[in-house]
Amino acid sequence: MISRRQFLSSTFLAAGASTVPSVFANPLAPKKGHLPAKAKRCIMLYMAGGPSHIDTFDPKPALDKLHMKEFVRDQKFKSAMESGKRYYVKSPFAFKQHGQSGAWIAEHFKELSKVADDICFYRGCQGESVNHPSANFHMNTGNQFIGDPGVGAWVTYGLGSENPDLPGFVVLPEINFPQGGAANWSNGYLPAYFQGTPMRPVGSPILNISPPTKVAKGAQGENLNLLTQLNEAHAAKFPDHGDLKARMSSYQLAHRMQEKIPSIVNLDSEADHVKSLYGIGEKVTDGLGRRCLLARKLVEQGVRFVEVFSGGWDSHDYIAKAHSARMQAVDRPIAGLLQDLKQRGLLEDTLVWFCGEFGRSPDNGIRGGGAKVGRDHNAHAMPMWFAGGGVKAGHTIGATDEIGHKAVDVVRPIKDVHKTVLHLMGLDDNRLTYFHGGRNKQLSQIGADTIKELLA
Amino acid sequence: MKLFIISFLLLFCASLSAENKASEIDLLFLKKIKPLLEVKCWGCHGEDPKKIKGEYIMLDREKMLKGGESGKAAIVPGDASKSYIMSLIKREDEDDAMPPKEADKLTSAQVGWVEDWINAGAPWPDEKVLENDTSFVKVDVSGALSDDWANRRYKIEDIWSFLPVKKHPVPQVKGASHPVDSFILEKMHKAGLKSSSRTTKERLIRRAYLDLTGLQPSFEEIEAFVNDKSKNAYEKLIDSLLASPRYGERQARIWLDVARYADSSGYANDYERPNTWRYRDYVIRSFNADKPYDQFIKEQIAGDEIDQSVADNVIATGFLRLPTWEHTAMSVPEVTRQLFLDDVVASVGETFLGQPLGCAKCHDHKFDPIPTKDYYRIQAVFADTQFTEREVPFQPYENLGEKDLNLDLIEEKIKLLNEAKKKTKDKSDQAGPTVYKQYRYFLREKLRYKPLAFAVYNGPFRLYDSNKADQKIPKKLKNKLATVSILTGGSIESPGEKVTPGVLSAVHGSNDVAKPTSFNSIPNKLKGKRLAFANWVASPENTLTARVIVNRIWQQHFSKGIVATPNSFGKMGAKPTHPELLDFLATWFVENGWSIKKLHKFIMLSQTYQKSYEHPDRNSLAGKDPDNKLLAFFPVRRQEAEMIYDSLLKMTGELNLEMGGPGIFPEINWEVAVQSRLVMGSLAPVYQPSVLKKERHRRQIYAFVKRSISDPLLEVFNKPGTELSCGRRDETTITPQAFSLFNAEFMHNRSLALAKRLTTQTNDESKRIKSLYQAVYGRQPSEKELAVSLKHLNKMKAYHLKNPPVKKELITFVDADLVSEKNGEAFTWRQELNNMRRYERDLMPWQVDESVRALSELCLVLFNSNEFLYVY
Repeated sequence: MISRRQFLSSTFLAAGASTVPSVFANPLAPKKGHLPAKAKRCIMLYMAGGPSHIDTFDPKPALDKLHMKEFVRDQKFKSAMESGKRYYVKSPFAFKQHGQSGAWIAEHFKELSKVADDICFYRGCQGESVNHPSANFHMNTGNQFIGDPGVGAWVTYGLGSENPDLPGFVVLPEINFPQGGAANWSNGYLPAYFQGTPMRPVGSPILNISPPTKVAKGAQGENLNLLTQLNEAHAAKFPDHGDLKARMSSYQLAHRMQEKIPSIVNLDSEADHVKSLYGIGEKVTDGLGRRCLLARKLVEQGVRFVEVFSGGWDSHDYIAKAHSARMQAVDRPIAGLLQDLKQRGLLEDTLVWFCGEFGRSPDNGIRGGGAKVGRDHNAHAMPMWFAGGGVKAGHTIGATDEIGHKAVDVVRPIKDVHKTVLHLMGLDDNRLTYFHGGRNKQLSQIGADTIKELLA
Repeated sequence: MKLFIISFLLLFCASLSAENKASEIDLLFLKKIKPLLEVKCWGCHGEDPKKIKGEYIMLDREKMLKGGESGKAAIVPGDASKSYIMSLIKREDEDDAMPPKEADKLTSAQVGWVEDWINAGAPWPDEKVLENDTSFVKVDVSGALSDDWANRRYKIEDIWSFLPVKKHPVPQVKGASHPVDSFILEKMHKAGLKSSSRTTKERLIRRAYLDLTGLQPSFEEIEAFVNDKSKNAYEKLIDSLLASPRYGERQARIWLDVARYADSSGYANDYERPNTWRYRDYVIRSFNADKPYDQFIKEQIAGDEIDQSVADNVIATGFLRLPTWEHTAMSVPEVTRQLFLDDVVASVGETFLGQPLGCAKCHDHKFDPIPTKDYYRIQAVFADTQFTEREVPFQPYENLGEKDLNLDLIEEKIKLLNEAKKKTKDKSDQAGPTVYKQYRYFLREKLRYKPLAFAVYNGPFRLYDSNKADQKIPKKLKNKLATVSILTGGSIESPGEKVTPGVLSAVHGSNDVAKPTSFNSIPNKLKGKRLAFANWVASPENTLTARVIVNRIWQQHFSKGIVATPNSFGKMGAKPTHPELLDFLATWFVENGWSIKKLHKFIMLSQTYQKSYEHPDRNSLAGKDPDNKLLAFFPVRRQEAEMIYDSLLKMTGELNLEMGGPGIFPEINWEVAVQSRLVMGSLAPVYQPSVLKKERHRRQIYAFVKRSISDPLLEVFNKPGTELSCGRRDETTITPQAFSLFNAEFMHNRSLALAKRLTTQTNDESKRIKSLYQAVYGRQPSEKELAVSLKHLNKMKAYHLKNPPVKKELITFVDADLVSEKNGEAFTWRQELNNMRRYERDLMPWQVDESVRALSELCLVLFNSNEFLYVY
């Protein structure tokens, strides 16, 4: 069962629904949720590596005074990273309040600060693991251990998808996959139809979607005709074998997708001003800008859940340089996405969810004589925000302690965030279950509580 | 084998008492209502005071009547209509319904019981009144977290797998001469079903080949069988397939799915485990030698404790370490240690016992008689098991493949890395971690050829660092036992009662707390715990072990087991469709020396296995047995991923039957191969296919299993991931299968190879087409098929004449754009694919003329067809 497994695969549509009997009904056909909800689709912006809350949306002036003073940890179980002598580290960035709501945002989010009132910042989430892959799995699948279905898989399982020619759950990774790889968008124990399909930024958007050569492609139509003839003759011999029809129509669908998908992925048709809104064409922002614009195109086409990755946030050293570069790289693409969705009237029924696997520590071990100062991993607090359908925009919910070490107000575990995301999409975690391994499993694992403070 | 003739009642029930005869309503409460409360309500309204929701406790009558924070009386005795609880369980308002999870909702019958019970005054009688009722039994186990759980009673049919295996007499059925057929026909006749008739020899041989070897028979092999008119032709066929080394390879595939085999560790670094291949080969050898299954079990759990001078005994213990595992500077030692302990209990439970024991980690099992105490008692068996790579000399029967060539290639990679390091010296802060990291990967590659075994030893806890893959057993080992406690709520921060090693006490005769015997007792000493546990697992007295394995073998032949959930023999698993047959086979198997080969033959000689897919009366089946549980006809299946892959190589004549050795690297989807993958602090090396064709064209079982890389061609055909134990593969039909079979380079290369082979045999195009049909379908084409194929061939020839192929160069390097975690700046890391310097390519389109290319299109079409993919 699998996986967790690398790459592509499953997908979309089992064989097309129209030509075959009802037993082969499209498992991705749109379904009604359990609850009334504004959000019909979701774009998850995943900042892999562990972005710092202290240096982005949760300023801690108290650290300025403590800078380079010794920090003592009191926890029973420690990793090697958390051991040894440790010192407080102040944020190198200036913060200002923005919008009507007065949200605190670091200086390098120049564009994002303009849409501050569309965002609901949340400072209360706590994870459990400070290990990248485990924490990635936890945020993405609800389970620290590898093997469970991704949030997008659950949402697609619950709501189906609007476009029969596209996967319901699309993942837009960077060229380099994040730690933990494809297990982060696995279908887990859910049927293969719900697995996240990575659309790749270079090369084939979907693996094996085209034959290895152009010459081979030219022969495909004729080959398909002959295949249909052979399969029809075979099916006539086995009239009771239903899977045959399903497999036959899957070839027709595959052929359609092969024609369609490359044009969807192609961003050339977008207007220049739209591209520049996302920072496309500029070195720092081009990569994520393209993925964010593609995300918009995909949700516009009816894809239910799109997960966009942007990595490099693991700034153990040189936080000033490293984090400022990251913020500048994501600022325009993300702000552009929010603006573009809003202009098109899509933001009101699209949920945008920004998160990473954990936050960063207020302290650091000293390497290289203090010049390389950075931050380590911290699961007790992290940056996270929501925008769009059903979200309490223009508010900052929850708080961390004086130094940003731990969340102290509206403190909730990841499973509550998951329950809330499902809730915003019109799904009830308690009703969205799947029988596996002897019990009815659910995204929150064992049940959770909605974070009502985040709801409009 | 010892037979169990004592009734389980005497063993399971408390002493009989004639007093306190239960009234009807008492029985309703004890048999129906109370178990319902336990399963559906007490999770949040009972057992654990910390988890009480809505201030409502349902553990006794008084509290249950009173209600919770709503202030409403939950139950008004004698009047269900006034009882608040009724509106909740009827789910009148879905946002205020109980239980909260919709999938847990009470059936209308269950709601009815509660209603009747309340209307009868909601009595709460003591369990004692049940003592003279025989349909419910109490199961005595090692201990429980609560008295209520300890006193729980189970329906006999729910705990069937814990009760002794019975030797059932073979039913007398007219026309049945094989015990399997008697059991199958008896049920079919009872249901009024007709059986399908015998299948053809052509289909039978295909079934047998794929079941036992994972390869399609060639046309010649089919012909020989069809033309063998001797009476025992079929039996001879089975014998020859079981004797074929291909058998062990096929059987190992199934075993490795269950055991979660991989050549890497998963998680952040997905580091190679350079010596696990010896375990894979051990499994293949064991099946080929028909090693008695009980011995096979003991070696894997405790081979080192049996006799560590025997190489295979040590290699076998690699089983215990197969799941994903990693310890890095980000990991907490107590957490990663616990991860191993949880995984090893899960593996042993699912693989050998058909019990997903993880359910009992945090609480006594909700449905089965498995107390949390047993979970930690079994964990205590492994509490002193530590990781090591032991020196075990290579044995004469082991193979190192192209050792010299591959070591040479690894040295070359290291050299290239050192050169890259020099070049990036000025920016050492950026590329430094990558050089350092990749070096670690390459060092591991060299270890493949060192005589090490991925193994375990007994000793006090030692922190095993994932960065090294050759960690010896410490010289001095203290004779100090680890302390194992029940972890409250499964948390390492809350150790509770201390436990000593033990077995699953609910299994018949296994409660050592009540009655210790040599069968059920585990000594609490450093060495010998695992062996004692293995002896318990592999004992004929264990009610689970033989049933679980015969069910797996049955599933291999009929797609579905007698128990449809092969890893789960508990209440929530599927019930056996033919419990008597399952017990008959389990008994037969043990009596026949735990021989898996004999079991295959026994099953395959039945008429049931030789039945046709076609059935004379499908309409009657649709109503009476829509899922074919009674096996009125032989179930159709799709070829598994590796069957497709291996069979294609066999058809083209490319298949290299060399056995064993370090994993080989077949050509996979090139985009996957060169996909950059981030690892902790850096970048993983690029996947490079093996240099020689003969290496790449070996069976898929010998392919290196890298957890973070999988070939979409195989994955879309339901090749399972390696993170969870897979007892039965899914068989889904999804669109990317069409992408893979139609577009994957592997498919195009095989098409071309087969076309080339056929064209060298003859110049006559009709003959070529005939040979093609023989190769793929194992039969001659019909006149019509020949005609359409010829027509297609001509069209394609014209097309290819007009469209000559363009030569495609190999990818020789990959540039990865990285963001330095050191300073947040972008930089490019170039990885050279040094294997490409000496790469022996498969046959390519530009190396052949248009007639071969045209024929290859026809090959591709047949490879995609349903006739090839399905097995009837």
